Amino acid sequence: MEKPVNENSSKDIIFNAMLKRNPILVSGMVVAPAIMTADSLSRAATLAAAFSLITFFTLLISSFVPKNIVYTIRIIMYAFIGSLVYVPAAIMLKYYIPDEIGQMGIFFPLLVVNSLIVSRSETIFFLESKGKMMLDIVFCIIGYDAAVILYGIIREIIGAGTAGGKIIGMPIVFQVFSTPAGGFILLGVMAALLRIILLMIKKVRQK
Amino acid sequence: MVFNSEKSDVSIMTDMLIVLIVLSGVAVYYYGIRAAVVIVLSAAVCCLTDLICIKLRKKEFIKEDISALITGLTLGLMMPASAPYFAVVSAAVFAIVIAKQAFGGYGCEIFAPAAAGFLFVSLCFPENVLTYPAVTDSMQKIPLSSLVPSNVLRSSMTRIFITTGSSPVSALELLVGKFAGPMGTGIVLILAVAAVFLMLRRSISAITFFSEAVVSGVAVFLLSGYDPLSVLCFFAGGMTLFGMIFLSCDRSTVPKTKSSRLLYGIIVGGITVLMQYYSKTENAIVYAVIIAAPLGIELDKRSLSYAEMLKTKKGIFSKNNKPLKNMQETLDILDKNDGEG
Amino acid sequence: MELLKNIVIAAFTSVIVENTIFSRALGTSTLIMVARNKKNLFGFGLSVTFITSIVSILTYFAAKALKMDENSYIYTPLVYILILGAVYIITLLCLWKFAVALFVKIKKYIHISAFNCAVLGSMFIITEYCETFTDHLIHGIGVGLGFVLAVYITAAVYDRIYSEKVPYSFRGYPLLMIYLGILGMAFWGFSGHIINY
Repeated sequence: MEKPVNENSSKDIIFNAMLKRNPILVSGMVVAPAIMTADSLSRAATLAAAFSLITFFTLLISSFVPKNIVYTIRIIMYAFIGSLVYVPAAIMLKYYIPDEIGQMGIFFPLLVVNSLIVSRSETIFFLESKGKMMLDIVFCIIGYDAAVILYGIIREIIGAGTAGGKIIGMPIVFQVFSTPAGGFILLGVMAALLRIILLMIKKVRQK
Repeated sequence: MVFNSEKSDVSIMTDMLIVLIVLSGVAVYYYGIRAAVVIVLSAAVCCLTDLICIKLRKKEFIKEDISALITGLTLGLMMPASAPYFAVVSAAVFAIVIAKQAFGGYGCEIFAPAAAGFLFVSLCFPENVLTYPAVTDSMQKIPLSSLVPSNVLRSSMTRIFITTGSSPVSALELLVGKFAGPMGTGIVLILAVAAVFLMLRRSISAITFFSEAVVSGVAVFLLSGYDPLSVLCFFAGGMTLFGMIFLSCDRSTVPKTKSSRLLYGIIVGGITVLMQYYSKTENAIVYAVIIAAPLGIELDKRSLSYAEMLKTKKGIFSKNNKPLKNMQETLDILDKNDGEG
Repeated sequence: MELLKNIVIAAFTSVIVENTIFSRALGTSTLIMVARNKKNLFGFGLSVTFITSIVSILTYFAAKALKMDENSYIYTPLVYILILGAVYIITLLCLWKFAVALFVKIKKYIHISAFNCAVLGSMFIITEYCETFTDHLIHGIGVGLGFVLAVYITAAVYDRIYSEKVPYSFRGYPLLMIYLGILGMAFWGFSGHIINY
């Protein structure tokens, strides 16, 4: 279970939210939509947009749910709020990007019960002050979006040999990375690379 | 890591190396120089990648550890002689970096590296890795270019067997491996002798080998309507017999206790038949070995905890009220292995 | 006999061929949380399977009404969350009333077993691809069992994945993803194509 970290400055909060506690590359959250749908830049961007919209507003509204309500009921309320936020989000996104949203299939409505809403809200976000919470939520979402878009770009290049839908003349294309299995493996490798980067940052800071 | 505490890993690997070199020789005889290039390339890339990973991890390089060479030769023999060089290199790098070193290196693997590497490239480049040149009399000239023209390639014998339900080649051709397929995995005669050799030398687990061979053989015999040729076709094609020796009995990933080896063999044999007959999957043994790997680990844990439970109870094992000698030996070896990691 | 054969094939498909984790990655976050704590595996598995079975039955009736409206995609998650919430509360109340010891045991993780992508995802998938009541029920049970299988396979190697012999950069979550990926490639052999979603 995740625990809140002692964060003194905004810089720490941003760094932790985006990198050290990156939802997808460190904490293993909201993995399914990324693996199944983010196999290209456009689809990753669509996922990022849908995720940001639903998660931000759901967490914002859920933060006002009284904490004296029993935990059992609070979780249901968060999911319920998520499904309410989904309604305008679905109408809006279906209007502007109908094809891309259609390609997301069941993973678009599944975002209403993503781990940030159901789990991290209780363990971290709602234990912080309102200001810190907003900063944390925003940069968590930005961290997820950035990771997913990078993931989609890499997957498209090595799995399909295209970038943004255009063929780029890759000499070798590894078809397996367009499948869920390859998605898992690439995510694992990216998570390992982030860990190496964080280690290097830590060493630089210590010097 | 070794079940028989008298036999060292080096000795086991040497035995495997001898058998793999013999199989490589036959593959070169059938497929010519290109087969040699593929096998040598696979072995070289595996060894080099392993060395680089060991250096990056700042670990000590042990010159007696020829596991990377074994993986390379195994992987090379699983490829068609016409495999593109980029596919061979990709498989080798994946096998060593992802399936071996990422899991902790030699002795810590969960999946047989050669199986994982082959699975990776068969999903990445199915049209290159799952099509094969025909076998002619000897030393045929397959172009040495990376991409072999597709007009000289064909589906494997196993694919035809799975599709039609009957063997497209004769029993003699099955025994000597004269059919389209992976270059070193279909020579039943040599593989059978190799299996006996390795079992007698205690370099592979006889329990695992026999349990998977018997279960799958009987199942295929029944499913094919009591046709012995189909059973031969099943073992010869789809790298089944080869996989039973070199993949499922890989000394790093095979379970450590007798009971878990037996169950593991049954599971591998069962999944192989299931995948080949119902999912129509070619090279089903590779998938079966990967799926059964975590089950083998769990079986080991269960048999260890069962053994510990039995150890603490009195008067259960034998008339002398002492644990059976082989059980005690098993516990000692498992304790020693726990200490080594 | 034919019905039994269809049931077996449907069950095999939903547990193995279209496994929730390996074919659709649904519930991966929950799997990571649960695989850590091996003691509650059986209880967790039972609660997931129970919930997916019950909601699959209720989804059958709800889907009939939802399919009549072409704009139902807007409020379908709302309806399914309400169904899930109702099942969750009723389950807790029944346990609290009739089996207090079990209630105390599972209350720690029942919310994770109810509100996760695997359960909600199964409701959407069942609505999309299942027609008859039997199909709904078998797939509902199959999704739960498939999830439990994946959790069990992962918990079996948890110690190895978090072992100190694993390079630090790969230890834990990165290696877990690679592990699921390699198993996913193997499970691919059962289906041979990307599963619809």
